[in-house]
Amino acid sequence: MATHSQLYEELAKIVGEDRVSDSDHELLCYAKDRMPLPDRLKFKWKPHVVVIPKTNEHCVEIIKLASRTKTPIVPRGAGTGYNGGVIPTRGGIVLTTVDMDEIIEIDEENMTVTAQAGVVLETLEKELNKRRLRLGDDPYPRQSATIGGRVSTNGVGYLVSRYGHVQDMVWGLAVILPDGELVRMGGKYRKSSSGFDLKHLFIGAGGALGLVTEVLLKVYPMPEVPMEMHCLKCKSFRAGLRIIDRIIRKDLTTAFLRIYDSAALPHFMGVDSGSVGTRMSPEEALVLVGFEGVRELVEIQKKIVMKLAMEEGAEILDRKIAQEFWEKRHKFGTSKLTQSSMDFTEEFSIPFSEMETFQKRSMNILKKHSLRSGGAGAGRRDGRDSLNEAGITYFIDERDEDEFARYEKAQDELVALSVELGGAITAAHGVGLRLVKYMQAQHGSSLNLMRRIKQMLDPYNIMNPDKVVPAETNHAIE
Amino acid sequence: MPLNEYGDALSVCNKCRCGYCNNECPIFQQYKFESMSPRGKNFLASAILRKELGQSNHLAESLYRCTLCGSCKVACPPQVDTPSIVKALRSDLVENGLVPKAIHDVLTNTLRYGNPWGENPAKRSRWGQELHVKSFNDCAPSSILYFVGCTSAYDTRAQEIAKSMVRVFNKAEVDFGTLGNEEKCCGSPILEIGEKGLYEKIATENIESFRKHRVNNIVTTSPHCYDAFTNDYPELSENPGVQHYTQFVAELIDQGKIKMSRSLRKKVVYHDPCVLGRRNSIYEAPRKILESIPGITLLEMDKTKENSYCCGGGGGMMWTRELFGERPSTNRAKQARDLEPDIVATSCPFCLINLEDGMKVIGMDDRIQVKDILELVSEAL
Repeated sequence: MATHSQLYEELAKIVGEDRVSDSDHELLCYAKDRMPLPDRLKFKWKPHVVVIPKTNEHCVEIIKLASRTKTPIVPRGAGTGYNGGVIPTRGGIVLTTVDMDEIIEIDEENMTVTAQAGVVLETLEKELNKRRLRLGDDPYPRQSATIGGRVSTNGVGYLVSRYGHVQDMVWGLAVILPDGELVRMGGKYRKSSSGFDLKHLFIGAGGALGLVTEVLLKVYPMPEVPMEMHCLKCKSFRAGLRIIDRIIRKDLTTAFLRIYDSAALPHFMGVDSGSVGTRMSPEEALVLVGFEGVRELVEIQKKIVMKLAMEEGAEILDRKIAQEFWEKRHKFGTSKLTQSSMDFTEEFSIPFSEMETFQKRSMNILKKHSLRSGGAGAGRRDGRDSLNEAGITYFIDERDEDEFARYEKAQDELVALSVELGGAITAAHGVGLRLVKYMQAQHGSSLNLMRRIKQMLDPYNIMNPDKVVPAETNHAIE
Repeated sequence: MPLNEYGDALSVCNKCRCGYCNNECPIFQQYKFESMSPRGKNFLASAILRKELGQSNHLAESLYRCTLCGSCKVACPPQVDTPSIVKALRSDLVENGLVPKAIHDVLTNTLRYGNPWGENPAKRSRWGQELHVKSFNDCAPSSILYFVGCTSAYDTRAQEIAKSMVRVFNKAEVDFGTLGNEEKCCGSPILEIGEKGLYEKIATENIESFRKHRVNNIVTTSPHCYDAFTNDYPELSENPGVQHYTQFVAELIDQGKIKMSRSLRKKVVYHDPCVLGRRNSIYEAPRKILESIPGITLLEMDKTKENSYCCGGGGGMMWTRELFGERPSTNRAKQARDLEPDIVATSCPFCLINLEDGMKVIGMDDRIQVKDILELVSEAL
């Protein structure tokens, strides 16, 4: 590795001095994302230098420099991730894409958009809306998350029932490999049957195989009827799941379909489960169902769902509660933060048949470790998919070392539970640093193939080391 | 409040990390370094509290890159008061003598000359000589004290605001006077810079002067003076009644005391000054005045009212251009340009100067004029 001052000087030659910093206070700002960390680790991992490129050419030269000097390089978007994917555990360079913020093309005829990695989703959404188009990806931190970060973590959004996941919307990518080669893949089409499907190698790769610099996304027409949310009170979590199962087996493609247990209400809905309008007992659950699109289709789907819900004995509540949930969807997570604790949601993929078991056992795990529960919920995936996205929320105070230790134990058990039930250890936030230790349990023999791919593309392990793929040569984190 | 009283708020921000503020912060949008963002500044504040970070000149350069515009607080779901946290951080920098030179000059100028611009106090009232502006000494205590403010007193462009104010007072036959060369800085920029001692000295002198002159009603043309008198001075003393001119002129219109008869036939977009709007919730009075001017079509930018985009003049940054380069007003000028107005109107001398500069930077100054609302009123009378 080059000395820090050499790195600074070389980087300044590439991007100019006003785009690079090695000031102590600046570096400190890149020590953390949203991953829960005890105070003793919060300020621990600093880069040696931070650089703000504007163009692909900048990025190519920066990565070539990192490769030549075997310097770790951590790509960073808005830094809103849950899993420490941007924490520079080995120092080196943090490359932030925040100034790569150009929308390169909105192709109205083909309904695609091409954008630099640092474009914020909200900005993209507003530009598309002006043309009666929209993103299919609508994550919680839409107001700050960058498209590069979304692709690299392969997260979930509120519109998954309608459009699927970001992985389904990416039609093309520009990626800079760890040796500095710029590679373009895909185009303005979904389907190609020639050769390896390379773009999916980089989606969700957490920047461990290269730097995503441009994204070509499929976008969608604005719906005639915007999201109309409804709220069904069910006697039990099981009863709610049954309604969802019947909706799915009816082959209805609702725009939103989720179930929450009663403990989740104050957190996700901003309503007390004992308050007027809901009055829920602990064993009851809420199914939220949303409709969008052509008016006639919305009306007919709504009619079928409501009939089915009544047949199942569900109570149809005032839809204002559900609509409010929708309007506040980009804010409620943080607005519920209290001074002493943060909410943290683990999101898994769980087979539908195991969902009830998962809900019960995950709540027991929280209880066992005396963690305050924010409830459990589950959501439907892409279009005709089954319901298999499962989230549980709990509150932790990072400053409380004892509680933090209990959280870590609970996390081990929750992940083990998801694997035992045949699920995925994360469906939302990528692997990052937080979940890397579970990759063996999740992937078994296929982890070895991941290691070989990582080794081939990044022989010096410079691209976001210690994340995603636990290389055998990785340093211990602490 | 001192920094250590913000521990819980900082803890909330450090856990949340949503970064919604960054996307709304005009300074972060310009520089793109995390230390210049609200979220980054909060993280630095936590590090300082935990003694993980010491103070330095480099740190000061980041902390003085903030206009305290408050857009971060509006964007923040848990409503962390980042501007107050920045002010607390700055107070500690001032105590340790670590302010950037341009900021230091503001403090020295204000101490020596009674204004942050370093202008000669004996020339403070020169702008009004031809208009024969009365001294408040010659007014009844029930009259209006027009508090001109340093920028409108000295800056040749902003002096037009003061001159227009006088025309409006005269037209409405309002008995008013100024403190002439006795007037001094309101202290607002000094408090924002974090020099509490100097601020208290200035504020106390002003309060004493108001008392001596038996002032009961003040009208300011700068939202910054209005804000200081309304929100900061009450901690020190009971205050006379204070109005920003937009409130006062809107009342004159309501009472039929001024009548604007000349049609201007212009498309006007209004820029909300942060201190008038976000900090003091005065959104309607300026719009009401504009809508009362014959022939004006009022336009609104996307970022309007509480989401207004700062011109870059607050928080002491009016005086740091040479140190920190271009101001956010360039971005604001582009936002205004997209609506194709004839005029960008505002109601703050800093905004007026900065937006006019912004129009020059984007090469639109020959097609889009920047004016204070008072200038438009004066033209329409």
